[in-house]
Amino acid sequence: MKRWIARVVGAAVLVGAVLVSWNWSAEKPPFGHECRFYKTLFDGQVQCRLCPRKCVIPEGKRGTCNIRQNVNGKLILVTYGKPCSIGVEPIEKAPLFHFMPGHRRLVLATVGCVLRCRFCQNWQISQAAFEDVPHYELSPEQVVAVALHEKAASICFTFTEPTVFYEYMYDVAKLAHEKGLKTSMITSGYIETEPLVELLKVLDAVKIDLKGFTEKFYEEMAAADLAPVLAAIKTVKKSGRWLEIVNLVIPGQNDDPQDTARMCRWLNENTGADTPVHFTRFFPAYKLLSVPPTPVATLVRAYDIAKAAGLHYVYVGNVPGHPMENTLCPKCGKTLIERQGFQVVKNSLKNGRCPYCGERLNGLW
Amino acid sequence: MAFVCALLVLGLSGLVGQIVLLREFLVVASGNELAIGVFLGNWLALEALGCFLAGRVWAKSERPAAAFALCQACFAVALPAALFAIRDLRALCGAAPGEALSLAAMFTVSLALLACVCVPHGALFALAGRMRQREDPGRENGGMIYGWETLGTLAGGLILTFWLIPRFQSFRIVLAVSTLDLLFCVMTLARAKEERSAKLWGLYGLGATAAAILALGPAAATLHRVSVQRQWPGSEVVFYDNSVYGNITVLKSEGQFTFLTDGKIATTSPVPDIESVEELAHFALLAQPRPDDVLVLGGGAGGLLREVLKHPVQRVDYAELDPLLLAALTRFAAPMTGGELQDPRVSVHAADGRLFVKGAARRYDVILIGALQPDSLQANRLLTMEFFALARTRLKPGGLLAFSLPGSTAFLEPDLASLNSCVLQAASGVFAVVRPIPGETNIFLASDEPGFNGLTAGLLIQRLRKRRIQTGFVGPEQLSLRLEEQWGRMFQRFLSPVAARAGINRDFNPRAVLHELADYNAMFSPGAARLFTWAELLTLPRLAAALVAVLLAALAWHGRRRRLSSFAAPLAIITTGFGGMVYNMALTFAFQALYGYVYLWIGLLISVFMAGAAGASLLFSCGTGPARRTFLGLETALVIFSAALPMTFQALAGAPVPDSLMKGAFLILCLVSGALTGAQFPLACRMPGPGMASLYSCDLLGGWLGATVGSAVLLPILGLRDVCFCVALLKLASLALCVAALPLAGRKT
Repeated sequence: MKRWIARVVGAAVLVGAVLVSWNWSAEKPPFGHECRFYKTLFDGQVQCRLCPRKCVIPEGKRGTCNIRQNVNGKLILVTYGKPCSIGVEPIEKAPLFHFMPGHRRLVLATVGCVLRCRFCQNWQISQAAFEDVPHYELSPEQVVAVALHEKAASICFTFTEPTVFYEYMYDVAKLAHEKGLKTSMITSGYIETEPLVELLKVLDAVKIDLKGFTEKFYEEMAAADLAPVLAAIKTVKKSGRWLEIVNLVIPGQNDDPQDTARMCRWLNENTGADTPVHFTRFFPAYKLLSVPPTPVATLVRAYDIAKAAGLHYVYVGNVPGHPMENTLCPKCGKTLIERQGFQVVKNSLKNGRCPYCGERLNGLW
Repeated sequence: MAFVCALLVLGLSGLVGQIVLLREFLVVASGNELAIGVFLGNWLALEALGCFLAGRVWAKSERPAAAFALCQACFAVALPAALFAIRDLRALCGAAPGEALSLAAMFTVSLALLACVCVPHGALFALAGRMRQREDPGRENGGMIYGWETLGTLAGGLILTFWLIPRFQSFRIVLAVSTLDLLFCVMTLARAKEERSAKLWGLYGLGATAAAILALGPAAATLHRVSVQRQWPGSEVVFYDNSVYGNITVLKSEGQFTFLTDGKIATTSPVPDIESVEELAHFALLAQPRPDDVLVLGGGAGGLLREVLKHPVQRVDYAELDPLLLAALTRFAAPMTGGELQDPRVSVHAADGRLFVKGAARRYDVILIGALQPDSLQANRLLTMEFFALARTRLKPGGLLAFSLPGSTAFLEPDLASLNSCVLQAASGVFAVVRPIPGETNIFLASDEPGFNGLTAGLLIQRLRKRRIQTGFVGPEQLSLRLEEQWGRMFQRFLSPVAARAGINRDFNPRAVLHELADYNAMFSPGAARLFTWAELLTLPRLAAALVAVLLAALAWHGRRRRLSSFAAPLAIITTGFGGMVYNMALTFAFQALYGYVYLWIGLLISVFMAGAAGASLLFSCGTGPARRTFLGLETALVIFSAALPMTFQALAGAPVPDSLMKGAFLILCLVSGALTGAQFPLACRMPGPGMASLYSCDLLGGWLGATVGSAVLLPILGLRDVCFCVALLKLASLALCVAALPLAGRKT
């Protein structure tokens, strides 16, 4: 009997020790900022209304984005004022080719993403938990001050999916505008219409990654849907903000010429011929480590398809030195902006017009 | 004689099957070295299971020969099927073509696939014992069976390495093995007079004929082609071949050739990753005022050489390990690859980079390390402190060594930061100046010339213009951008917190591999990355304390119940199996570190180890009397050997003796370690405790622990020296247990 008592006590001590150490390692709920787009449900649950996932989040839990947390029935953005990445880079890296070419932008990101792309280039921060990634403490005022100090002409929200740190981005962008800085967002377009419309009031340019043009691709490679992305593209275009589209072409996944043709036709019909479209080269990243880089011939073919569909500004990306990285006049065909990698080697535009034929090129010059 | 042949075939077919499937598995796992641990671990565990189950089920069987033939036939059928399935592993795991597999997926799917191969093969050992027991009931045959099976393994290793792999593709090899196994099914039944069955003879005979037709005819080629193509849908597989160093695959798609080594992308032509090759080549060569003589170690073909040749170089030595890769590059040459390899200034050497540096008589202005990631012990050998010290002696005054590591301008996560830190610390320990140039790829310039600290973008731009170099990516503004102070500050911010934990990357303590593997693991499960952080809490004193606690508890238990007697020998066999695997790996690894990757020598080292094990096993199986004293003597010898091994490595590394003597010393160490490991099994069979089948399972279990825990976890964390000390402690505990628990008249009843 004594032996049994000793065993039970021993087991209890062991379980207790495990539980105690577990609690020690757990992080305390972080302080954050209340989110704007959510609805309170019964039982202390909340429903986030920011992105099409519309996560129903129980008390103490986070949404798919991993950074919007239900704290006592309120939805809190835990990364507000806590960016993990900040730096100054050329805008060509975005790529946003028609948005003040050659200028330096302050890039800003926090952890978190609503998508699960198997080819993510920044998976270390997009898929990470907030607690696992060191961060800065920077209020919107401080971010703008840094941008001004670094002589950046714009602030660009990028690397992860910026819509997940919506409130932080909104406050930074609003303040940046007040200080005369431009703003841009590099996004997957996975956002509801209402918050997007509100956000566009404080943005100047948006680049949307249209990752593919089939529901199958979005479902299998990004665990998401295509339709909300198309809706976001239309919303941005309607708002009058500058819009560029990037399509990362992955061999065997989204390089079907017929899909590319459908995509280009859709873009022409819904965003007009003057919306720049970039077909960029894939390199092995994240989980797609053994997928070959995109053949340049595939990108050139996509370029030709887009041109045939009537699009005026089509680019091939991630192939430094390729002539299709340059901006040509849609009327006379002369090269107006020459690029080498992320550099603008030559810019012949005069007040946004072709110096040879006088054609006005769309963009924020 | 026929029985001995059957045992030889048992060992041979097991080894050939294991290696062929392992190589294919490694390709699907994109060359991830942890996959080797997962595969070998599963293989050994399943063999142990098969042996254990057969020992139980057929312990008293009156028809062991029929059971033996049945298991051998199952193995023969399962082997080619497993090969086909492994090539289709991504689809089986639900992964996209080219997608990396998580460790969990590798583990579960390989476990399921290998079960069909390894369980019947493991059962053969136990059944061989039962067959022998029926023929000669009074005799203990465990040692003899173990010895001949090990000899078969040795023969299999030699035949596969030197004859089969260079000549035949995998399907032909495994089908030939299947044919051999099925023929021996017939022979085994023929030998057992009481168990003869015309139906079974016919069946196995038919099977052997069918396997032979498949192996020799066009079917093997068709199977090969279909299974390879299924791995890479969307691309045409124009080349798929194995060299002694690994697998080379070439994919063709829309005029682009992609060259893969062990499933990892090595290079792409005609348009490579322009950013990476241009940045590494131009930062290194622009930093050098007169880059006359350049040495490129790996990764040169496919753009890097072309960029190097844009500078006013007089001579470029390019060392690439695998001649098959060079042959493939030449065969599928784009204008770029063809041009750079045929340039008169370029001398191509099919040699291990480290070995080449060691033997180089020339001095260089620039040494470029082309490979990016130290994701294997093999690749890591070009990024250790010892290698940097060696390379430093091959630089001209003012010469520089350049290498690159994965980076990020967005965020350098802690494992990647640790990887960068441990290599940076290794280089800083050797060179007076190490200048990091952080970016999406971090470039490091190491030199004894203090001037590199003050390297400015202006100077590089001036040289770029003076040399009239045309590039696609690296222009004046890119050079300025990369040398901006903000990236240096960011780099320091990421590296500072991890510097102490990261350690220094050394030959015998490959920290970079640990951090690289942790980063790979984090990709699938960020939470699991913490496991690596926790694993780093493992230190030798802590392990020793844990071992002492377990030992005391075991002895206390034994003191009360006297039940340890039957566990002592199996525990000793497990720890010896563990030690054997660690010795094998440590000797191979140390040899590689000191002498470069000389495949034939590695094969020789493993063969000598196996020969030592087989010889000692056969020698010690002759005795019949009490074996306690000899057994304890061997345990003591293993303790001493484990403790002395790291000191021997250190002595060999620093000793000024001729290479031939050093290599001889390695062979002797292999022989001794093999003999010590192999001698225990026959003695354990004469100890109180479980029978031969269970002991064999224990041996495999120990090997499994050695492959997984020893090589994949303990070695990167503790380093070579402490892993050997860890084995010494383990054997010391085992010895203490044996002294206390083995009865003085230790004869099995």
